[in-house]
Amino acid sequence: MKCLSKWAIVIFCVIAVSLAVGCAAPATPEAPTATPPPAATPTPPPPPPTPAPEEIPRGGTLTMGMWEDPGTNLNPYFGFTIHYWMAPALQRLIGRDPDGNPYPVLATEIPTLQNGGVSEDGKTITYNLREGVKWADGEDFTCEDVKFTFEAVKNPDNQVGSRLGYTSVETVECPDPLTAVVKYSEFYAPWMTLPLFVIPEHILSQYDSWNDVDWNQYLLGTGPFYVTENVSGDHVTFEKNPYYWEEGKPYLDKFIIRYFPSREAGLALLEAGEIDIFFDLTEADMAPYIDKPGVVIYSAQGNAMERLVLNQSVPTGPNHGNPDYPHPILGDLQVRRAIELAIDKQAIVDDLLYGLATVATSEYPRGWAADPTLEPSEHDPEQAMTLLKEAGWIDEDGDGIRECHGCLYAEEGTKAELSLNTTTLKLRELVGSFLVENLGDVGILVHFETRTPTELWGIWEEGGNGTQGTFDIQMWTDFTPIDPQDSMYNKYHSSQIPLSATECGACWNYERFANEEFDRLMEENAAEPDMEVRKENFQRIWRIIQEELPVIYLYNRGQISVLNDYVKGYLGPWDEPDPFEYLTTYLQDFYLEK
Amino acid sequence: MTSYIARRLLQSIPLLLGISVLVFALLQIIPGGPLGHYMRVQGANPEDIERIRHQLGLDQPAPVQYLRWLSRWLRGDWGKSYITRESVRELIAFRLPNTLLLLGCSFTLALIVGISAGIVAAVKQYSLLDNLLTIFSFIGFSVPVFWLGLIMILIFTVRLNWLPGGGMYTLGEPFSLTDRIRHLAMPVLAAALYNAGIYSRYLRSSLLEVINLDYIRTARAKGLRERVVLFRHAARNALIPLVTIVAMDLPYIFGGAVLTETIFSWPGMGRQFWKAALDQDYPVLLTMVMIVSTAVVVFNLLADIVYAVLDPRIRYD
Repeated sequence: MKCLSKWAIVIFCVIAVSLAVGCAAPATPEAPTATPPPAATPTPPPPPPTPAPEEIPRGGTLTMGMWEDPGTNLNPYFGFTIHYWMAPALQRLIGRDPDGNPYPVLATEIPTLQNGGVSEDGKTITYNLREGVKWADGEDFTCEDVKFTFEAVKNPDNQVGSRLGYTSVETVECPDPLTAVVKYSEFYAPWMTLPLFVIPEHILSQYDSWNDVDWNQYLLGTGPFYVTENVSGDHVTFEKNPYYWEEGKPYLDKFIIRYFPSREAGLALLEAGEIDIFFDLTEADMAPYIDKPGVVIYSAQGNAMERLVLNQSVPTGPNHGNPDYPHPILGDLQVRRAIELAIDKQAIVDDLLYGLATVATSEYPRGWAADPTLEPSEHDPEQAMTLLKEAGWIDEDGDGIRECHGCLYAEEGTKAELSLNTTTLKLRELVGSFLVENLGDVGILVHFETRTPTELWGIWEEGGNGTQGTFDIQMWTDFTPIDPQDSMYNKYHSSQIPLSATECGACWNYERFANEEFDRLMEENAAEPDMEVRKENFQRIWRIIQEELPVIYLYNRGQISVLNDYVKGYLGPWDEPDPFEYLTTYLQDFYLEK
Repeated sequence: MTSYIARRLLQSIPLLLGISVLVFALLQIIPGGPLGHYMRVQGANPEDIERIRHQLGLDQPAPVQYLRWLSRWLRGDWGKSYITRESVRELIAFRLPNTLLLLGCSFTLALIVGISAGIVAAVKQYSLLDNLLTIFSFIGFSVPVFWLGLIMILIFTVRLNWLPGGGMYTLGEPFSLTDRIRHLAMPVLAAALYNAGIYSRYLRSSLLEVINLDYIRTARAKGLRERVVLFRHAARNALIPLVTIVAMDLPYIFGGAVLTETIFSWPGMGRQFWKAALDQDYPVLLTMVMIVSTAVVVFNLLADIVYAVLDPRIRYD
């Protein structure tokens, strides 16, 4: 009897505890609207007045944390890795200011048709190079370095990620040490973006190929710092370039990049003062740092935006991805318009991104080819519902989901059901559930599912949904380089639709977008040396995309970093963050005020 | 015994080869592949992808790729990472010692703490001490290491400023033993807790089994001191199941602890393994698998030898 009651007590306790724990756990994930939005969109702090050069404190070590570790190989041409690491060491001929306009770095002026730097047919570009520039080992920077850079990228023995553009370079000549003449075999519209960085001829020309050289780990360039220590997966140390060409700079002695595979751990160290900057965060990480004293949020809004990629071809069956077989629901432009009207983009920006982003309107919000008059879409669910009804999508059985009754492409009775795929990122999951709600309100049922990067963007033979056209809607961020020519062509030209593993199996036109006017304008731009004409064409192109809706733009992404407020000078020569360069491009202007 | 060991070692060679074939085949079957890394979002266009595919030898049929890899591997050329182009050998040469240091210390700590706690708990069964140790053991293997790691950083680095929050040593300063120990403290503790909890439970229950057997009662009746009874007679037999478990766990010190290394920014094998798996970086993955498989084979052999030492009834011919 005694034993039995003791056991009864034990069993009762176990059940009670598990019930308590089970009920205490939240049943559903936090709904987006539960997070109270900040009182107002935080205004960026006014840029600090630039002190006179004599007053700037010199010396010190700046430590930057990042979570992405590229391996010890820092050669910018090897793969497609992002170039933050090289920016303190290597420089280029032409840079970009915050508006996307070119400014001369290692060149002394921008070559144009007017000043004769660009020939009439656009195929010969003449650069006047800056005098007095030295590599970090004291050697002079000359035209030979520019020539070597182009030739090295074209050299088939060299490991190179992308030769796009360089293959059109026929020769580079050096009439004198400070003049470089680059001759293209055919006009390459984005010529200003080449070369990516100038590399030292006197160091690298002695090797047959750059594949295994030490220089890849110990970058040395014309920039304000050069690499002295490179420890795999742990950190990279840069020391000041004693021969740097800008008078009196850099102010810092040392710059260290440390890798933190866990963003949370890295941010904790930022608070503890062990690191000074944490680089490349997302808007969702920013919540604890808004209005926090001692900390500055640096957000460079460039041409990266999150968008919904809409498949206009049928996603299933033997003809998946074939542009001649339209998607039963998304093939109809009215439906795509209705979807866009149903989405409250401003609410996403305000509530989920803490006002740190802006609503996106085009593939190219800033820069020389942008159209500032483009308007974002309205949030108008009533109009959306009207459009859907007119398009033949009506909810006759009253279950809240529309069916096709006289719609354009689907069979009678097909339900308006779509799947939305994206990567596993907390922010995307929040936006996803927000969109499910928005579209559910107008009668479209959306299933939100995460996918691996290979499933989203893999090439056809690896089963990529995008290339194979086996998706409805994908959501991810893409960016547009400062010269949109190649990028827009690869993304939206009708010749870039993936048709099979061997026909364009790695191409980018996932939407199966085919618009004659777009195609024509892109082809014109490829051959047009006059930047004004190209700009007009691009501005028409942004409108075509807004009208035809192969994609729905959601919000512009910024390159976000968090800095302790004793780090100064990070804006370089500008008043605002430069989204077209890297945070470390202006490292020569950074100083510490402690 | 020597012939037994030699036989086992010889048997392990076809075993390891078989593992490499299996892993290679699995990698081919998994959708994706190293080319998946060169995605459109980074600017890779179709011609570049074709060129890279050829360069990496991925356009060859799978058996050819395998044989080429194997012949190079046996000659000591472990290849280069498909993604970062670093030599795999250098990558591992750097990371393996870091992981061995971290996990070696943590296993040692876990064993010491686990065995002591297990013995005390068994000897003082049902006492308050036993209950407390049981509770701590359960907490030890229930608490997720990434949560524990972050909490430790929050308390000891951010709030108290006692210990550094990551990395192996303070940058820019000359080598200092105290500095290294301070950097090791938190990750070793975080990684050891789980194993300490498990080992103490196993040892407690196996010791309890042994302690009530007749021959222990005989030893006590002979008048031996309790300590001799415990360590000379009981522990030897109680340790045998623990040897099995430790032998299964030890190969992991070669493979790394991904979560611990991630939280504490420790540049080790675990993190690299994870990255290589995600990127489908075959050379790195295959080499790491071979290393861990070799460790498994060696440690299992060692465990069998230790059994023979502990228990005279076990003999191999």
